[in-house]
Amino acid sequence: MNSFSRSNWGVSTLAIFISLFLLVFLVVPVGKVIFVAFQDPQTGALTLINFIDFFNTSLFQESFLNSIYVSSMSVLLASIIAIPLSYFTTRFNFGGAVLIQTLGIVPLIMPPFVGAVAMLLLFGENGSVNLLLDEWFGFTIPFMEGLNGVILVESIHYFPFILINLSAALLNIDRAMEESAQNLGASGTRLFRRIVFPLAMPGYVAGASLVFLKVFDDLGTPLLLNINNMLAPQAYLRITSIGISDPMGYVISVILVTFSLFSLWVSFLALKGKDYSTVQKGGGGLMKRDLRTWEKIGCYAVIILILLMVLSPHVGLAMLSFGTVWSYSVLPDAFTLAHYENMFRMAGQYISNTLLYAGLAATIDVILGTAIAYVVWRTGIRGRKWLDFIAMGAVAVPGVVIGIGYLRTFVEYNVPIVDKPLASWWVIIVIALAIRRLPYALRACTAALQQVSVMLEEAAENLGATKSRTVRRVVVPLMTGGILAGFVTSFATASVELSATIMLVNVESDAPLAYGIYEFMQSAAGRGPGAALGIVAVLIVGLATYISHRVIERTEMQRTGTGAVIAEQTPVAIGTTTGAAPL
Amino acid sequence: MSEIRSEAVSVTIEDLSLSFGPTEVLKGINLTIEPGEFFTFLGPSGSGKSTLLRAIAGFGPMPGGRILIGDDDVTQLPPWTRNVGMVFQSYALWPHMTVRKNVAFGLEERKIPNKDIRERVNEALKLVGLLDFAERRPSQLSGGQQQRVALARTIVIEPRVLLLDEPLSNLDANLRIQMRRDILELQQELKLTTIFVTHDQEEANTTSDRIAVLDQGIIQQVGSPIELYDEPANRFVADFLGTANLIDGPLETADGTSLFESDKNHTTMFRPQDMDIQPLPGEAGPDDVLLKGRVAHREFLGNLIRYNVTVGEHSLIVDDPHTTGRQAFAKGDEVALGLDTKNIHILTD
Ligand SMILES: Nc1ncnc2c1ncn2[C@@H]1O[C@H](COP(=O)(O)OP(=O)(O)O)[C@@H](O)[C@H]1O
Ligand SMILES: [Mg+2]
Repeated sequence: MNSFSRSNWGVSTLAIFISLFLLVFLVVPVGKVIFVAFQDPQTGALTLINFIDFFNTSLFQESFLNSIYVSSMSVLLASIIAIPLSYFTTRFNFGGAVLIQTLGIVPLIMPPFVGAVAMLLLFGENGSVNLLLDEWFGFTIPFMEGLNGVILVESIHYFPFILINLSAALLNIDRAMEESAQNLGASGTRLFRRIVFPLAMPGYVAGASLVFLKVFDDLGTPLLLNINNMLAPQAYLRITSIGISDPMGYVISVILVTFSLFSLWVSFLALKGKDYSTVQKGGGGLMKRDLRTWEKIGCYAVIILILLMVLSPHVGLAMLSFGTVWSYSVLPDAFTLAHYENMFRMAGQYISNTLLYAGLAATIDVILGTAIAYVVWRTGIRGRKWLDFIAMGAVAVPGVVIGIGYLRTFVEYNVPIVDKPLASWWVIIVIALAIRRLPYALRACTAALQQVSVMLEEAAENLGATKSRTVRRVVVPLMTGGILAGFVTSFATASVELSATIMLVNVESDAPLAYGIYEFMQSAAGRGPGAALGIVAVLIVGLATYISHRVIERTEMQRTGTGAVIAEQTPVAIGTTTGAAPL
Repeated sequence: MSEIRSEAVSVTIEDLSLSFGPTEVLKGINLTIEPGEFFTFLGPSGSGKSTLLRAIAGFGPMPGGRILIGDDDVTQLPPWTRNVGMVFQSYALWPHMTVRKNVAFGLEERKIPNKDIRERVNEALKLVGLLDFAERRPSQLSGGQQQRVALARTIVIEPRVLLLDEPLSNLDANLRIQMRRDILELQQELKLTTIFVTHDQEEANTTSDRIAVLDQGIIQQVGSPIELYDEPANRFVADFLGTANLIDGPLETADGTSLFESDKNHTTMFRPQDMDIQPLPGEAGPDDVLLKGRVAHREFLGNLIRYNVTVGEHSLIVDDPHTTGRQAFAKGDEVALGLDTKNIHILTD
């Protein structure tokens, strides 16, 4: 037992170090925010007065209701998009399935706020679509009017969460589940209502609650669409315009966290004890059938309509980045490369900052992720589950809340050499990114570690390898694929994060790409270069997503020894969906 | 005695063929299964047993030929109108419903009044000994219990025919024997025409009235277990049911004459226990031929000793019953083998 206690020493030190990091950069700032929300601004006493003030102010009441309305409607619209798509792929034999799988990735490689301005130009009051509608039919549709715009942009961006989860749930239903019902006399809609629908429900709820959470917390999209009467923008505006001591920002933060926890709880309840993945070897998925011609036409029509919608932010952004002048017209007047020249001249700093920040954050994430996974799954340290729990808890903390928490907590700490408060040093942006992306990296690392069975380690030790050599020669090589995938996912999502960074950027020269896009988009003249910068963001995320998919595919192949990676579908989107850009 | 009862009916399959795309999986199946019979489809994995069973239930591609249940032609009917009960290999219990709900499902689909449903569900659960588990979820049951729920769920609708697709394959060895007895008992109590699919000859032999042996989508032979064993129709059946010596080409006897000048299309077959292993020179009965060989290998199996004896260029399996204290031959011993010519079969391939 001697060697055990010695290696235990090292592990304990590691665990203490990680706990301190999480304590300082996650627990304390969030705790501070919650504490301040319940503190009387004058006397410092504990009170509910801030909440009473909040709910007595009509602007806040309105923001609160708007946030709930927008999130619910986004879930609804995202469901309307995602449900038919997942049903088509899992029920019918037809080529559109590939198209749908692409649909599931494309929106996620663009942060929603980047496409927002392009959507205004396409679907706004004087956008291309309404100009055409007015000319041809004499009416217009207020797609982007007020809250509608937020709902449209968010649901186009986040519907893949439902698509992925629901498709996985449907694919996991064993064919015999349906057949046995038919054998006992059920068919058609009754069969669907009594068997298929309830079995797929947990997957749907998990996806839908994730969409609700993401939309409720999103800051960038409403800001870019100039919608201020929602919770996240209000929190941001109060803190940036009135100041760090204004209690309303904290009250809103508490509400945001509460709703995040609530949606996570709903998704947890939906999945708890309901491992409905009933698929047996060989018999996966619903009974598939061929489509009649007119059905096929119908399916393709729906898919192409949705594909057009889903691609519109990308197309709009591309046109904006290449167009000269684009307003009150269906298409830009002419095309040019000038915006890209301008962008590279003015925004080089943004890009290099982003690569640096996201790279550092992703590195921190995989190191922490691997260490936490190891401590939790391979050691017996007391309280190790808490480490996992707290690190995963970052999922429930919106970017705005991290931003406010850091500003409030670290404004008093001066960093010695640079002689600045920690809250306004660029490193704090890296830490914020690392904390926000940690749950995703941790999931990837945990999955990677779990694939290395303890028996493989024991076999190496049995053949004479020491603990450290075993880790080096067996564990790490087997984990690299997963760690790399975690790195790339963290990197991709961190590089387009806006909500926390927008609050933490202190000087322009420290700002990352997402902030740059936001700045550019504030003025009409900046839209062109802003769109060009947006295209750069899309390319970075797209490339990273592609790489992580390839890495996962490769490791999967190594592990199973076959080339057959059947639909890299993730059953639960929380933290496992590669390339999902949860901003 | 149970309330669940149904009129036993026959199942007739006429010239049935079925393809998945270009691959023909069933090729011209003809069968008549008698009312109340326990009938088994036996064959190796991939031989088409499940496909045939599923065709009777109405699943899979539309087959050619006809399927009759009783006098009704059901070939064109969708599964939910056939009223044949099928127990799936994976049980296919719905995880979102309790045991009671699972069993009630088929009755609810038949719009039976609620009061009767409750009674009949209780009846069926009592029959499989799971009444106390009615409010549990399937995931809270053991494999054997799940199997019973699946059975109850099927018989509660009083199906005309009971179809069982490898129902024992997911159970461990002890439970398998228990369950196979229970299923047989239930079948006899309900007098239900039953078709059972298995790849395990012991399962087939111990339960079935008659067996159809399938290979490559073709019925090789139909008969009772003893008929199939004693009078196999071809090489496949002989080899699949039990152990057999299958000899191609001539075999030299002890006195130097050559036996079985079989041609290319025929194989000589005799069972290992039909030979009498003796020390040289050996005694032959009136109908016996005597072979001479050398013991190449020996396995002690408790109730018998299995020898591999080299005779000329052939290696024969010989089973010798073992009684307490009996001397065994050793590897390398020269032995004589007596074989009654009545037990020699000439098979077509
Ligand atoms: N859905 C299917 N699509 C294509 N081929 C199938 C399908 N189901 C079964 N087969 C093929 O039909 C043959 C018979 O299968 P099956 O009836 O399941 O065999 P058994 O139950 O005897 O093991 C196999 O070769 C199998 O590959
Ligand atoms: Mg089978």
